[in-house]
Amino acid sequence: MSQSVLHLSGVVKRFGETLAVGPVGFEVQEGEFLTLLGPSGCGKTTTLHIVAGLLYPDQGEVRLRGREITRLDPQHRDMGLVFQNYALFPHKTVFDNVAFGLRMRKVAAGEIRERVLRMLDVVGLPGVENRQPHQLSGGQRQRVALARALVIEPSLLLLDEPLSNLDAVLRKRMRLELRDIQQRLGIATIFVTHDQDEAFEMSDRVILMNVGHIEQVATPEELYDNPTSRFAAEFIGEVNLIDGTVAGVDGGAAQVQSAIGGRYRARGDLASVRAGDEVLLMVRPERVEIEPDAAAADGLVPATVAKRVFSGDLLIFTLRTADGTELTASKPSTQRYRAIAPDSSVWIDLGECRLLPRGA
Amino acid sequence: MSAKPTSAPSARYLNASSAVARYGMGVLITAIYVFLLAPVVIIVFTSFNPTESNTFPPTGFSLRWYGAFLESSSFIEAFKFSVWLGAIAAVGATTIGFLSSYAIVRFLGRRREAGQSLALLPVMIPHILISISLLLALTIVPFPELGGLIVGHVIICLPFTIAGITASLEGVDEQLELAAMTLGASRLRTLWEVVIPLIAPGLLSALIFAFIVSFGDVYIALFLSGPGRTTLPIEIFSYMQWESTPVVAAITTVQIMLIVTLGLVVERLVGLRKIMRV
Ligand SMILES: Nc1ncnc2c1ncn2[C@@H]1O[C@H](COP(=O)(O)OP(=O)(O)O)[C@@H](O)[C@H]1O
Ligand SMILES: [Mg+2]
Repeated sequence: MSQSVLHLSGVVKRFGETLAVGPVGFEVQEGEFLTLLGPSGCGKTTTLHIVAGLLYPDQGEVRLRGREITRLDPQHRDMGLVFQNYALFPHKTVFDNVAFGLRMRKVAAGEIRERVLRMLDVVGLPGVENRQPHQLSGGQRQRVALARALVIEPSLLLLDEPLSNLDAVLRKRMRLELRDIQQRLGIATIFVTHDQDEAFEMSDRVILMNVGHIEQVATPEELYDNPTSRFAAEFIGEVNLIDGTVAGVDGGAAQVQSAIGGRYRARGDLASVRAGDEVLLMVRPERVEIEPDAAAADGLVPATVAKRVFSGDLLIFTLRTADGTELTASKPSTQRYRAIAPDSSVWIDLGECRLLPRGA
Repeated sequence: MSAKPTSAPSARYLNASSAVARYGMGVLITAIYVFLLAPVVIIVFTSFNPTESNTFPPTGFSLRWYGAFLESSSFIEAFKFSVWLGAIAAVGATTIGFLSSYAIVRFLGRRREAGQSLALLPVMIPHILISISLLLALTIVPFPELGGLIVGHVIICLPFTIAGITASLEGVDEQLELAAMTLGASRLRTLWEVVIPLIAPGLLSALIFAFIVSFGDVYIALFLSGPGRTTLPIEIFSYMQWESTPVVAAITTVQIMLIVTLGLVVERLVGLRKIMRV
């Protein structure tokens, strides 16, 4: 069991009448890359600022390595924060920007020089120390901001949508690079983003947030395969949601009679599920099987191909069943699936589904 | 269909009238500038008069009255005192103005507009009223008169420094301050390392502007300067009650040069218009 670096519990923050965050609680483990993922305005920045001490929560507690720091000034917290717009000091050179935190800590000049240059190397920006921030590209500024946060060797690195101001190509490259730097330094990190791809590619664990509260905490795979709410299912990737009625529960799975006709096994939180309950069946588009051959279609649900979109490596099918439900299936663009023409009749199978409560 | 034919003549008609308007405007603006600048021009010319009379146009060219100014110990003393007072008032009003502006911009939140208006209020109050109230205050609190004079000048300068500095502060991204604090700087250290360097031109302009306001004051000094030590405008004022020679024009010309120079410096720093929009 690894040691927890940060522990938030019962944190609530209001701005006047609006509840921005809360109650929210989570832990960050040593060396972990944890992502706060959620739509814009869901309270990610507010949570991050509470961790950094730029905001104090109305309720709840923040602990750093066991020490209570809920109302400690930001300058005594030992955290490296990278802002969305980088917030580099425009009147200081790159060197002085990166050296700032070390100067505040009264590190000797010689050591400052050595550590700043070493950190600029780590972030892949050797030789720019004498430039002014405005002479750098967006990607370079981002690296300087990262170096400035990392050079103080903080207990925790906090990143607030650091990639969102970069162009698409650079953004993809920086994801991997950022993750690589984080792993080399072994620094516990909280990363904030509204971009699911970023969250999935970089994180050890993801905290999915929605209007101020936590929807689900899980590894990217768990979050993708086993969302526990409709919000989580719809926020992460593409999804098919089908109405269904529970026919019975046995051995860790429910039998669900679906609106499209088939009866499917579904796993999920079955503790309070009874026969006769109205539920949702969730299935990802790549799990939807398409069978063009009537002979092999025994027991499958008939459908027509309403639309077929070719996107290179994938074919995206829109399938309409007899009751009018439309399902999306994404399949590799192999000969087998290319042979399925629009408007043709097919049979579909959902395999094992995920069971979700019908409510919001 | 019917709109087409009428639009062409009406456009020509507008053009014709706007030519007249442009011409009239040009004349009007020239007249306003002549009206504004004429006294200044007359004073500058008069200062070069070789004779005792303030005749315009001057009857010759001489620097005699500039010499008279330099030789008059009372004028020179008053000039020095005005510079000294202006410097103190400028530093005081800029320091207080900076702290108030910072509080207004960063801490007032939605009440910021109200805070700003309140801080600018002394501009609406006639300076003579400020002067008289300070004089009354001095009869209650036994405070040296010089102190009253300095306080008075700081008060009349403050609206100008606050207006200028809040404008500069609004251009500073608050995230820079938050970044400095997460990196280990206290609020005070953040002001020194980040905020002050970023608004340095604004602060310097506030200093100069406050100096000009203090230097030109009559009303505060009229009531609050003690016996013996008085400011240049008051010295000129009392001189003119008994005598009238072009020495006053010479002194005024020196002042005009000083103020124009300082104004140009401010203009270079932040743009005069930004500060004047009180
Ligand atoms: N300083 C503030 N004053 C008032 N409301 C705020 C303030 N900061 C954030 N909020 C509100 O709190 C909520 C959460 O904001 P934020 O944490 O910035 O969201 P996110 O970073 O996830 O986009 C939003 O509804 C936002 O409008
Ligand atoms: Mg945000």
